[in-house]
Amino acid sequence: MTKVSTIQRHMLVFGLLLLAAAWWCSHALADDAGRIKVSKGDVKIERDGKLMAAPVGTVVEVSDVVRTGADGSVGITFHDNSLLSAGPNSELVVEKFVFDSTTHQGEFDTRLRKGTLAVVSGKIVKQSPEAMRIKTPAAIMGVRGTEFVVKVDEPAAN
Amino acid sequence: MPRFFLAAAAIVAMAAGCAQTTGVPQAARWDRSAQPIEPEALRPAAAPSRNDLVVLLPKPNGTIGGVVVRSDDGKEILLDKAYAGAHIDGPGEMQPITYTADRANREFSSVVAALPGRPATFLLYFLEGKDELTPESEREVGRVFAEIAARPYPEILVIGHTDAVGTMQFNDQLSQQRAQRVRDELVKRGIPADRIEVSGRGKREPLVRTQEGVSEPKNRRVEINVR
Repeated sequence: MTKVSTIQRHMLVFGLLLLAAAWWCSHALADDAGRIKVSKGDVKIERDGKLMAAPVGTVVEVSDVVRTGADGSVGITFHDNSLLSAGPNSELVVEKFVFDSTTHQGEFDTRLRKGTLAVVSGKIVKQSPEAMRIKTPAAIMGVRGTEFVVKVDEPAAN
Repeated sequence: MPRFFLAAAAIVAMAAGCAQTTGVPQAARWDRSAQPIEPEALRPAAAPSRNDLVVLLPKPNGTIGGVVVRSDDGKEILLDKAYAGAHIDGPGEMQPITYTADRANREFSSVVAALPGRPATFLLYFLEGKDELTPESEREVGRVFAEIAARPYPEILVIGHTDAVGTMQFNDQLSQQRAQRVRDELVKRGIPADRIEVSGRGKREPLVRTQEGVSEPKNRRVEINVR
């Protein structure tokens, strides 16, 4: 075996490993977090700058922005059995969702930019209280295991 | 093989860098320094900058966990009773308030109505050493499957179990067969196969802990988790 072919072989291996790492990376970034189970009226998801309709069955990924119109409402079930729903004229962002289905350890951050949100906590909170957080423009809620509603309402400037 | 090590190190470094980017940027937090500083007296008291609200609801089973609401200036309100709430008038301006069931229902009915169905677990029991349902579970199975099929886009996890009679290998296989039978029935009733995950746990996870070799009807079961 010549020296050149050995180097070429190493380069091939390196290239393949690089491809594998890139695939793993893109996979890890596009985290599947939950699924839309209720979709009424105008419901859309903004992903990578593109706006798409979000009927029942649509996968919700980390960093998705979920928007509802004046007649819209949406319900999402996450992999840890947490439930979130948003009422009309709402905008929420799934900022972070990490869940280990064996240990139930994880972290779940959602931002409500406007509108209304209902929350039912799941396995992440049961395992580690306050590992689920809801962020609003002026406050952060640490969830210790419960159901609650949030409204974000910016009064019109006068 | 130093070159190989170099390549491996490069991959690990890439993976680590990539893992970091999945986190939430800290800059997304509300930045206090960006707020203009003005004397208290100059601020128009009648025009709060926000009208945000958090209200705790009672759980269907009556227990209340809790929510800690933290405003940006480090103020904290713990909500731990049904209909306890916090009103946020602006950054760092937060008051506890008490809601009533009527008022909460009125103001939040549309968002609460959009909550998906609660994830549920069903148990079906099997005849000793077989992948056939007990007569009791046979009577119940129609209702269970109908409830699952009625959910919008059901996602299902079917886990088979056995009692402690027989070898590990025998029970692993039996638990798989039981789970598979349930899966096949669900598919027959129109649930797409790709939404059903199947596993067998053999005799590893009994509901009722027994000595090795003991026949226990409660452990001969299939657990159906649906969400």
